Amino acid sequence: MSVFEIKDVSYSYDKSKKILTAVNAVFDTGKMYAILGVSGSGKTTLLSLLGGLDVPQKGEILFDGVDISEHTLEYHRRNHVSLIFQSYNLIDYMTPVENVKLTAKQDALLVLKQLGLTEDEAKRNVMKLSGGQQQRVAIARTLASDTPIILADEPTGNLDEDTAAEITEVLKNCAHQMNKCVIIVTHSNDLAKQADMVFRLKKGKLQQL
Amino acid sequence: MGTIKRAFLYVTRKKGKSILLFFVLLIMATFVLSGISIERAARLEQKKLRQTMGGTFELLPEFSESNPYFKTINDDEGGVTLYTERPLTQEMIDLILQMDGIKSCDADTQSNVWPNLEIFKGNVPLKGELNNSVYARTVYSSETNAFFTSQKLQLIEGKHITNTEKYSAIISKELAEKNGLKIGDTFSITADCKVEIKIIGFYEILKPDSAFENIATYEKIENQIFVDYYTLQELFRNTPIGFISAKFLVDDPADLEKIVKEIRGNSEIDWQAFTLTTDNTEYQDAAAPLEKLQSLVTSIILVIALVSGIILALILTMWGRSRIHETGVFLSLGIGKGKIVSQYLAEVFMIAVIAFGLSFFMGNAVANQLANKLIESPSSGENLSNDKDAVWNIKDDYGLSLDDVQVTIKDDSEISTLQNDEQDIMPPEAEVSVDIAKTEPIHISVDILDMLQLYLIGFAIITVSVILSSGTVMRLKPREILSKMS
Repeated sequence: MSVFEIKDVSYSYDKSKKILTAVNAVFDTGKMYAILGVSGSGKTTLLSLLGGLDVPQKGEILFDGVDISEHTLEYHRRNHVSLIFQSYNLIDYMTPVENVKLTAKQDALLVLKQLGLTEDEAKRNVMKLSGGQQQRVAIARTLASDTPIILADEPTGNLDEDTAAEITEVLKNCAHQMNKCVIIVTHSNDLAKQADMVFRLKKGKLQQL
Repeated sequence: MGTIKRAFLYVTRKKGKSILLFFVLLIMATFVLSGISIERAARLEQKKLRQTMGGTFELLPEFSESNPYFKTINDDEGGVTLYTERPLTQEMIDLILQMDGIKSCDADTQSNVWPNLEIFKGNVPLKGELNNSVYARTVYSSETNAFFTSQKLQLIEGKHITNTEKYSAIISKELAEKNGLKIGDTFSITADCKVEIKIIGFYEILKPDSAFENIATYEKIENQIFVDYYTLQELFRNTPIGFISAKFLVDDPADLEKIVKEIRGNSEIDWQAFTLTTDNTEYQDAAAPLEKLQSLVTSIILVIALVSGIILALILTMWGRSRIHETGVFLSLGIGKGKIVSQYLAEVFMIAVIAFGLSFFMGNAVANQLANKLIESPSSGENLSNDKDAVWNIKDDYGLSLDDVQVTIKDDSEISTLQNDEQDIMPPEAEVSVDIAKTEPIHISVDILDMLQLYLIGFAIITVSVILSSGTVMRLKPREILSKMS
């Protein structure tokens, strides 16, 4: 059953520059999706619309068949989706545990341990962790929030090859083992190959590959 | 994680910013607190002044042609007697004293009477029977009469004359001794009629007549007989007579105008026959610097509050820009804008609670320093009037006119110098020290109410500053904030 649906969504910054034109897509739980596209193709804009950070000028985004704008977007962000960013976006004055606790509906330390962080690492200054560890903290934050959808914007963009592979594996596990709907926006073909379904965003249109 | 926990983590982990903000708030609070406590002290001084000085209004029979009851009688010797058919009665005073806000009344009138007593002779030769007369001073209440309140006379035995006394008298101890009289004895005084009066008290003379002054027998202080209103009526049974004036003291000079307006509206008083004058000048003169100070301090508090608010808003705006990243993350996690602003507010409040608390000690010190520079408390009204009396007594004692008296006042060691062209009657001791306007430092201490005011004002400034400073970021859409992040 589809958990998330994009229906005829259009978006433009101004009349002359259309970013998305009547985009349609359906996403299910338990699968990992990749949206490929070159820089400036509108990948991040689409992710922002899915994440409730912005509103489409036309069309609607449905969660469990209900337009996300029926509740507040804040409600959507808190209860339906979690976001993972390329630059991790952790709060620098908090420890990993505290970062996870920001949205946690589960035991933050346990989630961090499941993702490979030690207790000592989980309680030190988050900025003193490696890039891979910081991204694990960001993923832990999304998992602990217990939302059914994970939206990731170039999650491996700042990581070396090995760490990127590890993080990709974690995201796959989120979809396949934890029954999450994982939607990744990337320009990496390697990462896209790991997805269950791949879309390409080109000239404002979303095409399934 | 809750808003307060996030705020606590920020304050404790970002120590540099917290310490800087702490000092900004401490300085701001110290000045605001000093202003508040000085303003309160000035207000209290004004209140104290009002209580000690009071304001007065005077009710007088109108002795002019505008009073239809005004009469003149020419006697055979060329003298003229002025009187009014509507005199100022004790009942009118009772009526006014029933009103709220009036403390006391000093009403009196003086009449020449002939007592059946041996009296003290003056040094001014007078024709005929006048030389054997004394003043009967009819008072509404001897306790509030100027002779007693100015401490020229003091009741040493018996009781004061009140509005309920009938045919009673207070005489000097000297006159009593001269005639072998004691409390409860009676003697008679005669004017148009003869009245038997009972002695209910003796007074002592604290400021005797000057040996240098020419004084008629009836003026001699030892001969003054204080009597009640009913005695006066009996003395002049066939003539309408009353008090020559009634001076009322109000509880609070600030209410003077209101009280006078109310009295003027009283239809039981025939305003064709009376005039009412007010005197608030003593209080106003003394209170004017304090009022100016109060208004100055209020303006200073406003300026401090405004400047503090601007400085705080600027600092927080600068910091807010560096917190765009954090704001974006919170928004992406579904934390609402209201909760984010609440966190920023809570952070500043946490620091402010400590800074404002410590400002109690600094505020005390600064307020006292500022107050010493800004204000000096005028002495009480009693002292002022006594001191003026001292000058007038000196003037009277040495036979000087007002023009001859020059009072030089220095701030702390008030020196008054009498100068007189007639040096031959100026004794060496004429140069005297007289306190005209003593100044006392006002002690200011910060109290719990000042602290409460500080917290209210401070938190209001902080709230406005935080809302203003976070407004620029919070107006943006979450996506725009995240764009700025990247």
